[in-house]
Amino acid sequence: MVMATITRSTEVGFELPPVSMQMQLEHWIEREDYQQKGNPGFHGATNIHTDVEAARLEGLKAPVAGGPLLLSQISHMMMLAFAEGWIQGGKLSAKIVRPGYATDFMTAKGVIREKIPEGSAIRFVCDVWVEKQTGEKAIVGTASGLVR
Amino acid sequence: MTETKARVLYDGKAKRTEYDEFEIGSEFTPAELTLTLEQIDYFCQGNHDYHEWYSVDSPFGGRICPPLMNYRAARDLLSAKYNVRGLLYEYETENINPLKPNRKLRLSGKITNKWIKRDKEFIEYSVACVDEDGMDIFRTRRVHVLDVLPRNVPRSATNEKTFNKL
Repeated sequence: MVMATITRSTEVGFELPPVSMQMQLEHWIEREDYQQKGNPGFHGATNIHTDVEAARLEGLKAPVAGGPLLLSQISHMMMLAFAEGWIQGGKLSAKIVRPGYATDFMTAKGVIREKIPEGSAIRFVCDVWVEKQTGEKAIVGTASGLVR
Repeated sequence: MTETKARVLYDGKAKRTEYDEFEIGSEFTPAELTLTLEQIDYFCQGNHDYHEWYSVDSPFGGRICPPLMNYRAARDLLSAKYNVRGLLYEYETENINPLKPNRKLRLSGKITNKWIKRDKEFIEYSVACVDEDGMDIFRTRRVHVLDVLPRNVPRSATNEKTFNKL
């Protein structure tokens, strides 16, 4: 039985359990392999996420983390916090404000900002972000989940 | 940022779509898609996004897809019409109902805006997804910046190492 962390009585200011990931170029290359297998029509295997030269030709100093990889950390955090209320009724609005590099240790964090009644449920609105080990934010945004 | 002197004009697929070629309101070709259990496994492995409901079973009747699997589904609509690399800048999604494997999904979308800010070119698009029964599954809005380099850098380079195949 999978339980959500957040209940109706959880209070504003509660910090969501964080989700961390060490960025690694080897993982990004492996990730592209998985994506190729799952979606053979999309990227070439070398791109700005996997290849130094490809990244430099686009004006980047090095390969960067794919946005969906970092956003997945937020989704994972929201899933652990809200479970069904993330899958059915969850919302996310996020900006990628700084690239993630292959040496970065990234952590998704969130804090409940507001509780809004929505029918018989409560929508928990959270400030969410993904930050580097330096504290610099790579993604900032708002996410919400329902507790029914 | 780097010593790159030109924005990419051609990549391994074709000529990059330029800012002036994006027309606000222009609709994408609607697409049908069926996600598979195998694709869920690949996504979870590739993104280290694991949950019992994705891999074993869920209260929704069988395994479900991680919500971020909507990323590729919607991006493919853009890539089918325009040759865009760039970087994802904004991502917005509403998970209306579970994204389930082995269900026919219908996606539609369009370019909703474009603008120039700090000498960078941005495009915005939105995509909606319904399942084979007409049930709303997700809605998403994305913003991509077309280039890392500012628009005053000439667009003349070739980068055959990066492209979207669609």
